[in-house]
Amino acid sequence: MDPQEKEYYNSLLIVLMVVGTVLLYFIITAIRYQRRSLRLHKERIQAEIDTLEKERKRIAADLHDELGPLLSAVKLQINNLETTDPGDLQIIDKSSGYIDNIITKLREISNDLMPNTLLRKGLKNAIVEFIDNNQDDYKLPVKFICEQDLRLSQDKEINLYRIVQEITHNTLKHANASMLIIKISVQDERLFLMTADNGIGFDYFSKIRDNSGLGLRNLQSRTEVMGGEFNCTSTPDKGTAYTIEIPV
Amino acid sequence: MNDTFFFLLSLSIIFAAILGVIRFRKMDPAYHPFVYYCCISVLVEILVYLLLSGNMQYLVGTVYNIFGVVEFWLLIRLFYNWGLFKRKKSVFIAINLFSVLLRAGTLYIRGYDKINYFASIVNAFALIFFSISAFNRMILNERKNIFKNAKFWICIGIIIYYTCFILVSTEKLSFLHLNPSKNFDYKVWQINAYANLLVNLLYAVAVVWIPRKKNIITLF
Repeated sequence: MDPQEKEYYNSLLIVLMVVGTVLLYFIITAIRYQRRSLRLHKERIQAEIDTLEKERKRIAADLHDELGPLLSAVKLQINNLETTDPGDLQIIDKSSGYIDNIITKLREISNDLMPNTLLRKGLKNAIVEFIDNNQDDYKLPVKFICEQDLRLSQDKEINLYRIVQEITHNTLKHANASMLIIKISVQDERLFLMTADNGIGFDYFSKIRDNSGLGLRNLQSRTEVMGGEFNCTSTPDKGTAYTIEIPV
Repeated sequence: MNDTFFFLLSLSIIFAAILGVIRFRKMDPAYHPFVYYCCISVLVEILVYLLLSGNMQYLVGTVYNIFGVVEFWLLIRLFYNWGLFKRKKSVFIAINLFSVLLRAGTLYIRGYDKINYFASIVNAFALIFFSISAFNRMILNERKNIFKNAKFWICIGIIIYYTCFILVSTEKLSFLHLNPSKNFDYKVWQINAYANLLVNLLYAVAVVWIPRKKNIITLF
């Protein structure tokens, strides 16, 4: 190499070293920021979910424990009215019927907000109850398969229950399906929640891109909080399948 | 250090290729173009070595030019699979068409048997920009340990290799009229060979972290 080439070669080496150092610094800082942002993101979602669930619990308890007994007392009072007038008796009978309906509706709302079965008997029974209770209203056959006993923390049980609720509602509202299958299984310390419907499907990426899939984002957030993986496969006219995999 | 030593360095891509072939059936199909890219790189390295050993240097340029087009197409396909062009096939086709036309045009001017550094450098810039975009998206969206993400290693590999490639190939651009000596060329090529070794090892790590194919169990 002549002196000019040597000079050029040395300059090239220096440029490479500078570029390498800058690149290394860029990568290290990017990773640090990603970790920080990830931690903050998880904390924020967890806080949002905790607040939401606490509020639901409180409203459910208020409806069930305060309004329920009050309405029962009102019903008792009305039924104790002494009258022989047939018109009054009819009004008392009707009012008593309305109060019964309100009490039933209150119980349903309270149960939707925070199912007692979920807290007392666990996820499997809560999902069975949720499907049984809504089968008539939904007019969508839902098949639930779970052959193992599930031992999960209450937070995870609540999140999984909400995911099942959301998917069932989505299927009912948008899928135009005639069947929904929900399956839960545990393999190698990992829980798999799989659902599939035979509805009209949708374009998952355009839904996410257009920012219109709030329900989908909720599903993702709840899965993330549990440290799991969320996957949605949907093709127009070929149905939708969700797979949620979480560590047990 | 002779040519065989540097050939062995560049053959280090074989680790990524072997791992890729072993994991091929079980990996997410979005990463298949990357495995093809590793395998084709191995074949090209061997072919070029054989051509040089057999005194058929005049064919090396043609091999590299064809490889340049295939390599660019596979990596752009990889970015497309990752959703970088908002999954618009028209963008993917337009980029490739531009690359092919650029290469064909410059080859027509300079001759088909010479390595087309101008087109390669333009392609390298495009790949670096796409890698940086993919890297930024990943930083923003990834919710797990970034070191266990194949995209991270692939993007870093592409950025390092093609930056180095641009820096060491610039002197070969004919319009700069640098006319370097063979000894200088050889020294510069050595730098590229070491960068290649580093990147090939990064690619091998990337293949290890390529996610498994999603097991969609059809419940129907």
